[in-house]
Amino acid sequence: MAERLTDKLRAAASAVWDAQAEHPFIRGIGDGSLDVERFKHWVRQDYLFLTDYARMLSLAAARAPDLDAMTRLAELAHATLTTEMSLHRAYAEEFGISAEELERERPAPTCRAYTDFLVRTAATGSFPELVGALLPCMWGFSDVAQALKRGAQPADGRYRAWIDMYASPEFAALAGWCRELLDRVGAGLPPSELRAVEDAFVTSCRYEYLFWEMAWKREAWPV
Amino acid sequence: MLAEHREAWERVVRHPFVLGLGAGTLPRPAFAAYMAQDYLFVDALARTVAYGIAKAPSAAEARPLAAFLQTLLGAEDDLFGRVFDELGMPPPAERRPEPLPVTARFGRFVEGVGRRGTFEEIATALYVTEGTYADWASRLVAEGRRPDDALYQSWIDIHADPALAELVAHLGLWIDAAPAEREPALSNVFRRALRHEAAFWNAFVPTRTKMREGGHG
Repeated sequence: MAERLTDKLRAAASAVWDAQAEHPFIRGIGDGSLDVERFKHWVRQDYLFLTDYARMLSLAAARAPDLDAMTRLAELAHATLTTEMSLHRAYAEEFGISAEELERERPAPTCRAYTDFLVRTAATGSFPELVGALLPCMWGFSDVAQALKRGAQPADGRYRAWIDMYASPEFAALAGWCRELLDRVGAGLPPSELRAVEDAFVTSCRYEYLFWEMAWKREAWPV
Repeated sequence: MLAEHREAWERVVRHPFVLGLGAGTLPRPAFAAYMAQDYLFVDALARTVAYGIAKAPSAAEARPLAAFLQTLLGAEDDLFGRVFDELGMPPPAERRPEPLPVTARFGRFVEGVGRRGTFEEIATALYVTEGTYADWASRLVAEGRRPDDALYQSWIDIHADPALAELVAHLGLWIDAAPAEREPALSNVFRRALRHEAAFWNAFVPTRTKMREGGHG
């Protein structure tokens, strides 16, 4: 059987992929040593990320090649705006972050750069390029959380809940669906277009890494 | 804006096709032809709604549109399937219907607004496409017009749903909140959308079969 496009992409991104799992933020969730202030920064920024993520999913629905993909992408946009954002608000509350505080939050440089990259690729790239940029967010989270799930669990129940959420079979199924979509729409593309897909994929992987880094450093605009 | 375009709006929501649907006098072949084309239009409409979600100022505006898109691709898509089945038409995937020029033009128009327009322009186009449907359907219901044809009734009911009226109310608020200097551009979208809507109904009015306008004579 021919190698899957998404396996090739992951191989191309292996350095940054492996670096994610080794990042002190991720290791800190796993062993429970992560300073809660760093984690709260992630919670607030990820809430902002979700709104733009829904924009990206909607652009994907608008440009989807068929009704099935359109329907699934529209469902994901809807679930992100409703269920996911409301779960996120409830989760933030466990850290003493109020809904008002979440709404007041402004994107840090990396959050801004990543979401701008996603929305820009969704608006101006080819559809396979768009899916290439989308996939690392689902697949990376799923992969990182599953690795943490295999190890010893942190004492803090809030960190355990985080691992459980992203290590869930539902989340893995979502990543699996997105992989299949990219394998399908990326099949038979000419090399120049494949390079653009790979570039989008690797760039999103890098931003995934930087998003952990942003939270770890509690990044803010210098001026 | 509604006041400015009232006459054109009334012509759409009281179109002979709509009245024939309410009276049950609309011949089935006319309904079948309309449904086959409307199904194609809904693809363009769904993409336009998706662009609207992507361009929403915040999640607060994106949510009602995302919920509407779910209905469009869920319940309404299912209803299309049931209607095609009942009318003895093979599913669209097998039938591969070609859009009529009127459908293609309307679809290009809304999707163009979606792709290139501002959020308020998208809201305006959707206000016309959804607002006219909510209006004609709820008027037929209010007037107690219940066609004998269950297919016609289900097509009326899905558009008389309060959820659609709620979406239209949201769209109206967003349009009203637009700065005054945007009004000419929005009014232009409103007028063009109404014109496409009227042309679409016109395309499916049976020409040889005389309909009793208003029905229930």
